[in-house]
Amino acid sequence: MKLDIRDQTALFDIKGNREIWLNMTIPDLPSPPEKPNTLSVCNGNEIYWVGRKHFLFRTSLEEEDYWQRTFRDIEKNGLIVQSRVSDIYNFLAFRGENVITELATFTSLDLENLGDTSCCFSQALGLQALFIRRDYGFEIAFEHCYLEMIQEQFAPYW
Amino acid sequence: MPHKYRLPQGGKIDRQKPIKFTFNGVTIEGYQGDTIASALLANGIRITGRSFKYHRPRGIVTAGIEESGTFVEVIGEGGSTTVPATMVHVQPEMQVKSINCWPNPKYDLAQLLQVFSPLLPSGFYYKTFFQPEWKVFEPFIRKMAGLAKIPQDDTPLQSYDSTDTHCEFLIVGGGISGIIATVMTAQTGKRVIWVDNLQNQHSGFPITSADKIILERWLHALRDQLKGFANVRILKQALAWGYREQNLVLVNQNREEVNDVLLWRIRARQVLLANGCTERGLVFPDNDRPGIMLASGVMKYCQHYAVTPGERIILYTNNNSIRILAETLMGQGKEISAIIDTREDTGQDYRGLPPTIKILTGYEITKVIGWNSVRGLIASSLSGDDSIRLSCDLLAVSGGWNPNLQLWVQSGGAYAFSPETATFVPTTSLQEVIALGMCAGYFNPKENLCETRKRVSELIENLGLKSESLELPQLNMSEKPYRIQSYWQPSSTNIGSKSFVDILNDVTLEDIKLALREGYDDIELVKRYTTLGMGLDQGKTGNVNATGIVATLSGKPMDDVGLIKYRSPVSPIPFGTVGKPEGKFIKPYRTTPITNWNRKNGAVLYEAGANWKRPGYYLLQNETMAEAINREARAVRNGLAIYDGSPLGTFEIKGRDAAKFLDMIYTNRIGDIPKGTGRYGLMLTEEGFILDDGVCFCMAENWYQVSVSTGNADQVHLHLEKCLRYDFSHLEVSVTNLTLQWMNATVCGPLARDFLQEFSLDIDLSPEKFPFMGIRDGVFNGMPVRIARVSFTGELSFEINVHTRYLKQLWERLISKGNKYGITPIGSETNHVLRVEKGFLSLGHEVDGVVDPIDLGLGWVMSKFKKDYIGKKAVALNRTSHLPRKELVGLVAQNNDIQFPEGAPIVVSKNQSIIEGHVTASVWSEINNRFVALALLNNGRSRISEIVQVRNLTGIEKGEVVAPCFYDPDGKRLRS
Repeated sequence: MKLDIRDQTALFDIKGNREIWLNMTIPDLPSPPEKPNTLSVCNGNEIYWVGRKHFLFRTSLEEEDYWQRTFRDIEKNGLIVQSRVSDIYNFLAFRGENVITELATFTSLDLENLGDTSCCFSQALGLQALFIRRDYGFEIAFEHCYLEMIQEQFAPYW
Repeated sequence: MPHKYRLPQGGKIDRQKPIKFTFNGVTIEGYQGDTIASALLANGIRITGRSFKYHRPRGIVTAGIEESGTFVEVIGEGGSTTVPATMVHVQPEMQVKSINCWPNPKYDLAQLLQVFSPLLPSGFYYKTFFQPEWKVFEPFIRKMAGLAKIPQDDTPLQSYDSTDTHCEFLIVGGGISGIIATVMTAQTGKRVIWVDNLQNQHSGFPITSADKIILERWLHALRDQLKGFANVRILKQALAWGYREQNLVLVNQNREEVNDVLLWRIRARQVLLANGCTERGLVFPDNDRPGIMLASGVMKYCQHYAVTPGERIILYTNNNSIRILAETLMGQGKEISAIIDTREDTGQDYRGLPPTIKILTGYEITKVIGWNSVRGLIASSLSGDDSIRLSCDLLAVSGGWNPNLQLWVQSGGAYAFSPETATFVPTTSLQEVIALGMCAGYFNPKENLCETRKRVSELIENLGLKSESLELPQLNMSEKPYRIQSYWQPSSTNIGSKSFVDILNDVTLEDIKLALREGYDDIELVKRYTTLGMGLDQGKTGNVNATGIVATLSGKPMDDVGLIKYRSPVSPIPFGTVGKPEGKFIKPYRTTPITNWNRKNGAVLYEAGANWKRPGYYLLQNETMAEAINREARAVRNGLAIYDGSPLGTFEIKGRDAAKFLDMIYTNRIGDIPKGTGRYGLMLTEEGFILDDGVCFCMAENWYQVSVSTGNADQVHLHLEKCLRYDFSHLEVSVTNLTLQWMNATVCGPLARDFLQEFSLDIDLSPEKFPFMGIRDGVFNGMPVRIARVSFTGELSFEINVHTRYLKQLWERLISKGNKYGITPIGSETNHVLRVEKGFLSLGHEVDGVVDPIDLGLGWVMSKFKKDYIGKKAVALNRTSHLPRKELVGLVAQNNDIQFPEGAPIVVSKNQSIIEGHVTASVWSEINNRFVALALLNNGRSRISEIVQVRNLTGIEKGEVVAPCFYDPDGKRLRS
């Protein structure tokens, strides 16, 4: 297993009903995921369904201000509540054939059962973490304040 | 003569590989494949240790993990303490020592205790050694009792690791049922984990040698078949020892190839318990003499190790499973002199046995002859009209069979007494688990095979899965069911003899009777009073007998008495698997983007709440901690300082009902805060105590930003979410934790405004445009910022919040440009000093979980006009008692050189053993040039100017009670 830190992206915490997403006709906005704990994609933008009436929208950092304005406008209608959370997490890529076996010593999540579009909050190293299934393995988001500690714990894998 | 009791052939030992080891200094020869126990028995060694309490001679009782008689210490490299002799395989040069005896088990000096044993019943220690104090006697008693010594060398023998995994089917048990279940579930294609329990860990229900061969061939073929399934993971040399909620099973696996023990935390959709059964003993006078063994143990030594530890053998039973042992021993040419059966009616159970075997039905053993080893016995008819003396050197006992319910009970599964099998069998499950085969009470191997296949097949079908039919082997054994009649205790006991229920803990029938006489009529209380079922074997062979005895004596049904609750671990496990050796713990800690800057600039970092590594203070060359803190404090009061306030908890509260929600959360009015300003507020618990304090800002309509204490941010977040979910679920509000989105550098000191005005900033910082408690969004040198005018130091202060990505840049610019102002970075210790000078409260100091706002002089923060808020009624209720309340005061020592220690009690003048308060914080105040302290004191606010007594480590010091503010009481400086 190998891991690396992904470049920073923009992230928005969106609270509201799933149906609201269906009514948003905005270019490059993905349709909402079909099931909780899965993601949907459109032109590099992703929506993660992570909780009851709770979604994360991820896009490139360059697009951050555009989407901030867009979501604020929608928020004014009272249909959603949005917050910019781009800086809260560091996204780490865990790659390799044995990634599930290696990660199993750090998390109790059933990694084998995470399908191609899975994403969910769970714990790793006892910390809250967002797990996203990728074709190379997993992308895991940790709160940025733990990065130094995580780098120590995963030292052999960098 | 070596191998005196070894059969000329048979067994699964390698006779070509003799192994020599020492036992209590004497060289013993075994074969590869032998356990310490089998090698000792093969060499005729009967006394292998001494009992825990009475120091009676003990021998080997069983052949498995249920061993209750012989525990040994293995010395030297790879050694271990207090392990069952039945579970350790012999190794060349191994040194083995008996425990709990000196100089050796045969001539143990402490055996004198047996003379006084009638004076040492259960509860003797509790009743005798409490005066003058247990600690006086403890060292002597511990030296005499107890088990092996803890090794002096603390180097771990193995390494330990842990991992998590998941599966659809988890099968626990390496026997017949286990392998059937594994093969059948493997065919479903789902993930299967098979915990192939430590090989041969239980002695197991008897089976004839011919059937054993048939069964082993069949099992071997099934194992081969399993190799073709990629979805099956087999954990060999593993022990499932704990069962938790949500089908979490804890398994230790000994991985010899890497010399470690791996703890598996397995979460399974469905658990199948196939962990077999264990034979129990019979309770009769002196049933612990060496040479008295469980029948299953004798069977296993004969079949597996080619050892029959006796020549004149008697079998004693209350069930028909012992017949197979009789046939097996006779097949090896051994003489069975008698079978004593407590049942009056044994039907056809002994039909066809040679007439040389004396069959005594309706008899019980009333006396055992022999001290260091059994030499004979007296059997008496249950009617009491006949007695017979028989000689023997081996007595094999079977009191019936118990399903191994330890994991089942831990899973929350129910059980009931089955009169047919005279034991407890599993009934309804609480989790997704089923019991199979002998673990479900099907002891006859033929029945076991059929029932297991049926149950697994039903399970697979119920789950909507498919599996092929499994062909079962044809065994020669009869279809006769297992037949047993309960026998819990002898009809009479002899004076001077002891009938053991729990051999390991020296718990006798008389002990249980005493416990019941003393009113301990619940089986759990009997356990605690007598130590029954505790310790290394966890009552595997004795607990059901104990239930039977209690039921008989108390007249209760067996189900009403129940089993002693089985707890994990099922059998002892190394501490290393549950608490990793030093250095391997993961201690979470948090850093901010300027932690490295802090390190490079002399900061002394340590945890300051919520796992944050923060600077306590910044040391300059040749500076002491006190000097550093004083220097930093002077900078804040007189010049310009900066600190990293990033860990401050920050939440965004949004939604149509945000103000309504916050009005319930805070004690004061929030809904009328004007946009762009904030208000200090208090949150209370339901019990009316202070949960947290902080500032709530109104950012826009229906949009608030709340700041809370660093160390309490997670707790407050939980509180808010809980309130939203349960108490105010009807409100349209959302809470988002932005603690890590916004980080801040706080610039403070009288020069702060002048300094910040030197930067490109689109916010007017003048006090008129940007007053105290204001909040503004703007752009600072190209960075989006949110500046708040709040102060924890009591000085003019600007909290500059930026998105995390900008903090390092912001910090470096402020430091760089601040040099000409003498900008000084300060740490949390200095902040602590400054807040004490101001009398600001701090969690863990003044806010100790049991104070309310009025105690701290913050009654003004409690709205009199709001109808309700969390904790309002509780505060009023708590105050109805009119007992004195501890109130916040300031405290200064009469002797200016004295610093009251934090936590020091304030004692009543006339009686110094009565405490009326305590010091909550105590610091050197540079601005006041003296030590100052805050304290909580009974009715403190009405006692200003009073002299009180504070007890410190050296004696009593006097202090004057003053107002809890030592600097700028009007707050002019922070509002400037």
